[in-house]
Amino acid sequence: MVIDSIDPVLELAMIRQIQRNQDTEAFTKLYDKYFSRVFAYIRYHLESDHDTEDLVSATFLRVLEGLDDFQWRGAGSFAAWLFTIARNLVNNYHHRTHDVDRGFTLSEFPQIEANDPSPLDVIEQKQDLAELGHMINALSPRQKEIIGLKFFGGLRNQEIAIMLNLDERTIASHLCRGLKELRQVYGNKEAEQRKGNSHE
Amino acid sequence: MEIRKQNKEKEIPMNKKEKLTKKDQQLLREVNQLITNETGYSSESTSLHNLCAHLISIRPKADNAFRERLQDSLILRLENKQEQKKIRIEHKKRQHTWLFLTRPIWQTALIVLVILALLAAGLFAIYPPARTFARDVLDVVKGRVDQVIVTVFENGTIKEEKTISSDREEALTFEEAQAQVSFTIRLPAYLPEGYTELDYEVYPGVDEMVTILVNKISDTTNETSVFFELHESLQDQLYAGGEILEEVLINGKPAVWAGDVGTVYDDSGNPASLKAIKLYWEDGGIYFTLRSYSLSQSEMLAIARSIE
Repeated sequence: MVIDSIDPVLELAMIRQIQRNQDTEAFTKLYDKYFSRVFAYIRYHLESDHDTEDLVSATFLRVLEGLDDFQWRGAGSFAAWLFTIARNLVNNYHHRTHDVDRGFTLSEFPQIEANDPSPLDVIEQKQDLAELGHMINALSPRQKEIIGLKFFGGLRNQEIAIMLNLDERTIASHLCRGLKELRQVYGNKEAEQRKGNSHE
Repeated sequence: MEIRKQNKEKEIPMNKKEKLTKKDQQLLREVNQLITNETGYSSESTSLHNLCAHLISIRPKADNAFRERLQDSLILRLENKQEQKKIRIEHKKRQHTWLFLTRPIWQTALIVLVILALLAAGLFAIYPPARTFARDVLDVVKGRVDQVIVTVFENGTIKEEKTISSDREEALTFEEAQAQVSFTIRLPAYLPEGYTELDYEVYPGVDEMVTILVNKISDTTNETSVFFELHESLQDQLYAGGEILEEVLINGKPAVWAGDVGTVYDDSGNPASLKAIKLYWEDGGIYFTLRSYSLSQSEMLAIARSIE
């Protein structure tokens, strides 16, 4: 999943086309740009694929209904608006199900084309994900949120800042601190792996 | 509860120690690059680089069938919305275009009348000659006067005179007029040569005013014009105004000459005055006003003194 960098002018033109003419072509382009990212971000917070699909559908439905009233406030404002809708739906979901948002909930590797892992690989990957999940969930809620938006939602720091109503430098600082904390644990794990490999 | 806790969590302020170092900025650049290019593990990379690449590689992917199904459903909704919008616009257009025609006739007529009334009111408010004209026309409609002469002035001179006649019934005879008032109508014994037509109008009310119009038929045009008016009334309120010029005696009773000024407006809305002379006196509880635009004072005095 390659994240396309969207030219803000082009994005604004697409939004205007949809607002004025309900242009399906422009909407398809926007959908293509954001679908995978919204899905990844919601799946990051939810344990089930089924519930994720429900929330992704609800997100895009709300976007479709609310787009006429959407007001462009510069580059990044559309992505921030879209992911705010997704984030609110995730929060509502956890509130409704009395479930606690545990942050990283992945237990399986994503489907990768032309990749047919062996049963052993699958077990290893599951262990790997569980460890990574454990590491991420040890971070502060804000750091977990920003990492989710950055790596799964594919948002720029500026877009995250608009969403969370924070300064862009504060986002950068949270991200760096979170990654550094993860690196300590991840670095140790890598060193152990290398040790194991050399013994073999 | 967890959500509330998250919201309440205090932001850690960025102090000097936490300012982004060059390494941090480099890391953020690499992260952005990784996200946009999706590069994977690299043996030459640092553990932080590998961690980021690892995070990106485990991004959950949606089922393609779901993606297409959702896209189709959204496009369908958008097309419906497009149709609805078109219908709404068409409906609005039709509403505006056929605003009058789609209503019952009486409503359409009412709307047109209201619009005309508003326009007329606006015109009368800003253009005095229009107001004067309207008042004259109303007088004709109500039958207050037989004939209205509308004078249009331009630069202080008479430009045009328009005569508007009403279908009012003929003026009363002396007997008819006398039957409607409680006092005895007195007539002048003297009339200047050629003026013999006498019409009577009665305005009932507290003052019981009788107006005696002395007309003359023009020899050349055969048109009747008002020569002079003699008002007799129990009250003196109607013709008491005006500029007092001189005092005289009418059969031993004090009388005054007064200027009677009527104000008219020319096309540009400038006021202009039309002067008449009136002789005003009281005799035996009856108030007399003799008013004329054209008679000389001596002729008017002769007429007044001949009233028995």
